Amino acid sequence: MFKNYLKIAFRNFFRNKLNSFINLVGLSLGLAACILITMYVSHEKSYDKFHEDSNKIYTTVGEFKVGDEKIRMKRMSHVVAGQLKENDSNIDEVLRYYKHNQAMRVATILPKSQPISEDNIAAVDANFFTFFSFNLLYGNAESVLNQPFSIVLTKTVSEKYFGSQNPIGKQLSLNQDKAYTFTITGIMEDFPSNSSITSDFLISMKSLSAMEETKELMSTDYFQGGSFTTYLKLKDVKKANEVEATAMRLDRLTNEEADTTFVLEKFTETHDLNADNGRFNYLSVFPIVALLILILALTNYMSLTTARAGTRAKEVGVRKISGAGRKSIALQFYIESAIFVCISFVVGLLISILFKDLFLELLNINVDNSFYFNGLFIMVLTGVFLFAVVTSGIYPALVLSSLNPIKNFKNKLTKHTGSVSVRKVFTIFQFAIAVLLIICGIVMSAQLDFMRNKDTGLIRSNIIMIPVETSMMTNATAFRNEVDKLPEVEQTTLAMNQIYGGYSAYFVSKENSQESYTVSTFNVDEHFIKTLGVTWYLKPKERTAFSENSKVIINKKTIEGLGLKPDPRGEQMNFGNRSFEVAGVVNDFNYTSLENPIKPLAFFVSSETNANENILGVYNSYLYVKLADKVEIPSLLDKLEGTYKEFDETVSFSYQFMDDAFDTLYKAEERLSFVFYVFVVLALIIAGLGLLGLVTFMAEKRMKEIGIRKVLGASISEIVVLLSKDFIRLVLLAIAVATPLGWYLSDSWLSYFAFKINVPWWSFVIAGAIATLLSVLTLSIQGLRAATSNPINSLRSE
Amino acid sequence: MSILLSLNEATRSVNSGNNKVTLLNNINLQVKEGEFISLMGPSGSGKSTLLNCIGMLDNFNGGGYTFLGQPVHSMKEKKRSMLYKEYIGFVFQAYHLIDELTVFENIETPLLYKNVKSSERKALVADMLDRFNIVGKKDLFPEQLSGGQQQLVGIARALIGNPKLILADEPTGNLNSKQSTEIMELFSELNKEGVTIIQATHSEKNASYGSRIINLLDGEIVSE
Repeated sequence: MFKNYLKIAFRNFFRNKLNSFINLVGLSLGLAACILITMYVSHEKSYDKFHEDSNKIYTTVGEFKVGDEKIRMKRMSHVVAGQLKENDSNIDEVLRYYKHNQAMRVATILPKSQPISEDNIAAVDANFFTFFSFNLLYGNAESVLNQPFSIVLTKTVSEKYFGSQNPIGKQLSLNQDKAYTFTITGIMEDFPSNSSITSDFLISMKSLSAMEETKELMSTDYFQGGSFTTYLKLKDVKKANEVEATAMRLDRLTNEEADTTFVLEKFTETHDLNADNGRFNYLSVFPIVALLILILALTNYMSLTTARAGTRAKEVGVRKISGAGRKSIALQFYIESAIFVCISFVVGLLISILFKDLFLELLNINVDNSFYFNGLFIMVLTGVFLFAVVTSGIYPALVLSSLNPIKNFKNKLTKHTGSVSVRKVFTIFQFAIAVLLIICGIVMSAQLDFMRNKDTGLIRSNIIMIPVETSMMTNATAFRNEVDKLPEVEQTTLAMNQIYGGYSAYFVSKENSQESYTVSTFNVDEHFIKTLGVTWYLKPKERTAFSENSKVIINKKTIEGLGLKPDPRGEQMNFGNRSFEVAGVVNDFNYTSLENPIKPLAFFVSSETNANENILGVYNSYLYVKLADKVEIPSLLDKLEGTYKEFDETVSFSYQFMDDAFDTLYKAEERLSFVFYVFVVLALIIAGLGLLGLVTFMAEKRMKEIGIRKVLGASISEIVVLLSKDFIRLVLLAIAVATPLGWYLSDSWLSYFAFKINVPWWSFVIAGAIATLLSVLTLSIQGLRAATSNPINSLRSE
Repeated sequence: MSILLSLNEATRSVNSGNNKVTLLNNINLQVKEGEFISLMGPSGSGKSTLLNCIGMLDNFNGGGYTFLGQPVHSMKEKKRSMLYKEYIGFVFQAYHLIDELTVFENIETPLLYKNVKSSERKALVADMLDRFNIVGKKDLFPEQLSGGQQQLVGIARALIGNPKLILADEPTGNLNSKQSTEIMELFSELNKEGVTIIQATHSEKNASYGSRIINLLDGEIVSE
């Protein structure tokens, strides 16, 4: 019986080639998109779940409020882990993880190799490999990191330094300010792509107190925030509250007035919590879009299969007369759908493998190949598969099994009013989704365009930002002077921060007031404001507005935000416990993404000399180089790099153009809009294919009518119009349905931006036009074919 | 001979718009096992409707219908379908073979729905092919056969379940006279082997193969 169904299914598949092709392509593409998104989303959701006790592992986080801003401390001081373990019996094990935030020069000692600058070095407690489930290839999990100056490398890093030989027992030199010799005690497998911990070098925690650069980290005795991610493994996950209470108690022991709340966050959720995906949760949007695409493809299948009901009706009749019950007919068509979905699924899987790398690159993530065998991924995929099987089969099975044998034979099934209206709904649905996606795509592009081109209150073009690290030390001033001398350079200026890359923040209060506000601050030199083209709202009365004189320059927003006088010049503000006098006010400009509103900002301005002395080379800072117009950029960059190398051997030269830095802020949105366009194209292809199939079928069914009309003198164009009219009406209806929905969705997306466009009216016009054009094209191709056929043939066949 | 089926004042009507149209009116008929009955009458006289109702593909709205002593009119759908699956075979004017199945598979289909085992199915179908001399055509598809051959397959399919009754609606309507004669001779042969046959036909010549002719007009039996 089953074999018989299979046979029928395959023969039908090959008999209606166009129909099958349309179905197969549509469904495979839809499934491929679904598979890729499933992969992306389940990879995101699978972070850190591969550890044996992942559900028992927590990280300790401190939270406190300043003004109305919530500050989250993700790292603790070095004593927190130990004190918690000692004072709370619910804790099974603790682990500290410290990521070194400076680059170190790493080299092999025997033979001596050229040092390579490495910035992914971490120190961990000795129980790292028993606490977590990372695999050691060489070395004993219990003891690899017991001794000071022992180090574990990942496989890739080991190959980088030692090739294919086993490096256990060999030595590496790590050098930041001083060189230290580490002995390699273990090699571990590379970190899985869904691990939030990924360090190329793991050194033993005991090394930290023995190194000058990190000694200070181990000196505090306070239970407070610090530099160590503190992992706790609980005996009973229900006792997390108790541990939180213990943390609060320990905190209050040393600091009675502390108002920090300590919470345990599930380790498996930290990736989500720390993710920097923009403020909009794209992770929740993608599955919905994928589901829409899948449903689109499935409705195609349903609609085309039931449209073919007429041609299958005879078979159903014969089978019923041969003794088939409704159930077995339904089962047959269900099996047919299931087979079809299976084939499409395999094709979709192949397509997804083919496009995996490209897709992941677009999303800027990395997924191990082994993830194909991840439990969660396979589970969700099975779900998608079952969903596809169930939905694709249900409607054809119901419709086809209900056909009455006698009526089928007699009337040749010319009318199926019920399923015709369902198919109309399908068509409307498909085009509505397509139009909806187009609208969203257009709005995204428009918003992106708006953000890139908006006047943000400063001039971004022709400015290169060069990080100057402490490794340059006293050479830094000389470097700056050399750069200044280059003929292509108009001006250099210095800031502690990279613009669009963050800022410092102070808690600020007004004179004679306890209320504190958060104010972003930039430490800059005297040329900064002018070089970046920031304009004055209230110019300083004297030219000097340097922080040495305890003066500060604020932006306009600060006046409103803190409620200063309309002309606050001369007013005092307290930054922490130091008092500054407002010297001048600049107009507001965007110093972060346009997603965020402009907040109160203050400049601490130093004279060039002071900045060179106190900032440059002393702190990690940025040299902003303003170029003259029409400069040969490549040769200038070469010159800058050459100069840089003369003064810094440790850290290699890097730079970023300010306008690039600005554009980078919208990477997430850019990626999203690109992925969206892929979806739009997919949706259009699928909807177009569906329409093509339907109109082909309609033309076949109305062959006789067309023949008669032609004999009676209808022109080709009249026939095309006849065939297309109904469908065009459906498409127009779809546009009407999609427009308000598209407006609503894109408007709610836009609400995540502080600086945004209004949903442009023309996005609806364009989306509608694309859908209409596509359907007219599809319809006329098929309509023409039907209309130009010789009526004699069609009439004879009846 | 025992009575195979009997109709008692059997009536079939449908509603067409606001009018009630009577397709069959008070039909009284007894069919004995082994009979070969020809239903005659002009188009629209109710021949096909009568065949469909006897074949349980359609139902009478009034009167009684007894098949092998069992009251069909009061039977549930499931029981009825069991009954016709077991005892009745159909032959159609347009053959109604499944285009996607080969000759062999077409003949096999009714057995599938009776849950006959695969080996047994093969044997039964092979016998049937042999009997109708179409062994060489078993792997062909319907469209590769002539009309006469297609009808042979249609008859073979009707016979495969070993029915007591064959209902044939204009079985030669689409065939030329030579093919018609062959099919009609096959029917009389089957009849001699004990199969009861009821056929609907326009042709006097075909009707003459039967042992009994019933004339229908406007849904009523006008003569026998």
